[in-house]
Amino acid sequence: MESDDTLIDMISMRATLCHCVAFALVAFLPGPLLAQEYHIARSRENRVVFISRAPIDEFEGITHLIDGYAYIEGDSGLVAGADYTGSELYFEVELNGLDTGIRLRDRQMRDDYLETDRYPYATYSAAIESVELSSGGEQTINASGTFSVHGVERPLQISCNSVAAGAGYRVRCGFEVLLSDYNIRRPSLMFLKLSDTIRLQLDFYLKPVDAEQ
Amino acid sequence: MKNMLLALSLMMVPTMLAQAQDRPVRWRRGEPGAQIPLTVFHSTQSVHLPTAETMQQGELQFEIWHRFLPPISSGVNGLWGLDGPVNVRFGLGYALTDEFVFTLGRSNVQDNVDLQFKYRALEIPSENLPFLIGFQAGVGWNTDVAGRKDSDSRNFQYYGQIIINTIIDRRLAVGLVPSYLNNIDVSSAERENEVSLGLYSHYYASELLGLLAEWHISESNVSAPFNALTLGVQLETGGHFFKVFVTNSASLNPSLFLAGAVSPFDSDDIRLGFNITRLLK
Repeated sequence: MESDDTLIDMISMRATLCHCVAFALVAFLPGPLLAQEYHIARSRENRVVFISRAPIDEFEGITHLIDGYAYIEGDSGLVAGADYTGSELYFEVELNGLDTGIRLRDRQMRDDYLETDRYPYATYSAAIESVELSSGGEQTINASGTFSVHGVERPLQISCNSVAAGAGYRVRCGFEVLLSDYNIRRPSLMFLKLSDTIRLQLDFYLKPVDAEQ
Repeated sequence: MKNMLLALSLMMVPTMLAQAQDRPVRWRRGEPGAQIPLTVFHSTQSVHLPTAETMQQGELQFEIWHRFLPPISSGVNGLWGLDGPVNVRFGLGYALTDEFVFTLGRSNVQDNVDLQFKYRALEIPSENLPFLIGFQAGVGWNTDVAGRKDSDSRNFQYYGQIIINTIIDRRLAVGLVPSYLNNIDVSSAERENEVSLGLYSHYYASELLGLLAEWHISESNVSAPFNALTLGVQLETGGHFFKVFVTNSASLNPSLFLAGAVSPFDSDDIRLGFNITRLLK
């Protein structure tokens, strides 16, 4: 009789142990199983261009220092027409890396206008709303989120074109921002040389996280 | 035993819940990748003396310097010296690399042609007192010395300079430039050498306006017995620097300036001058 009780106790203990292990495994698995994460491949030829077209001068600031990720719910990647609820796009540009071709102007941009010692990054954080098929085998990613620079955040909707590149994607985006919207002043003696409207052109590569590791 | 396992499971629950509430994204910001060159003086020159600043590789810099010979004390009749005559220097600098610049200049003082090389050697970053160290060396060829052929070896002057720059609180930049000059007085039959010390400072009052002072202490010699003092303002607009000042030195090219000033810094001898530099690319 006593040995029967011991056997029942052992069976019960094994069952509890199995439950605990299963619970722990499920709880500690990293993230949802059906999601894909892509990181900007910093080793690739990424390029961000800030373009100012003012009445008497036009110049570009170029940097390769862009980083960020795309988090895609589901396992289909970027496919036109899929459900992108919960999917995100985030990128940030290191403004101290801006090269306008003239070191003196770079320093003025950093120190006097962008104040990069206080605000070193321009960031864009958005929800991916949809992906549509566009011409030439490319897809258009529509995203809605927040652009932040110089300590000011404003809502911004952008559209980017993506095309498959290896296991990941090449993404190209273009949009405009007004310096005055972000409290970035323009020098009084240079106002004709620096446009209030700055066009940003981004060209970067996304790689699946596993491919980076 | 069963109770112990149950307790362990319960202890794990808060940890699991906290993890479940974290964003699932694995991306994390990396180390900043930008390399920002140290800036102490904004301009490549104080007034007559060099700073350790250089241009970016491939940039050209055009220089126009004027020293009005009549002193300010000439008054309204001479428009405080602006009527001239005037000593003029034109120069063109080119950055072979971000650190190495050469400049070719010419002034109408003894038709002096100068070729100088500057090397931005060392950055010592610091939050409070960063240092930038450079070297400059050059040759001055005086092509209009009375009674001599242009190519006479006595018409050549050589100089070398160590440039030590620092900045305090991102506003007050200070420079120290020990210099060596070979052949102080080109009109003399003897080649004499001189060691001198330049001190200068710029106060950056705003992004546009700065105040500047420059003092060059040279050994007293017959042809140029006085130290040179220069006081003025600097306007900085885009790729331009405009420097307007009063000085007791009428010399422009480095080899002539390092020899010293002909007249003292007093009310009868100070004159107006300006330097303009323009970056080209």
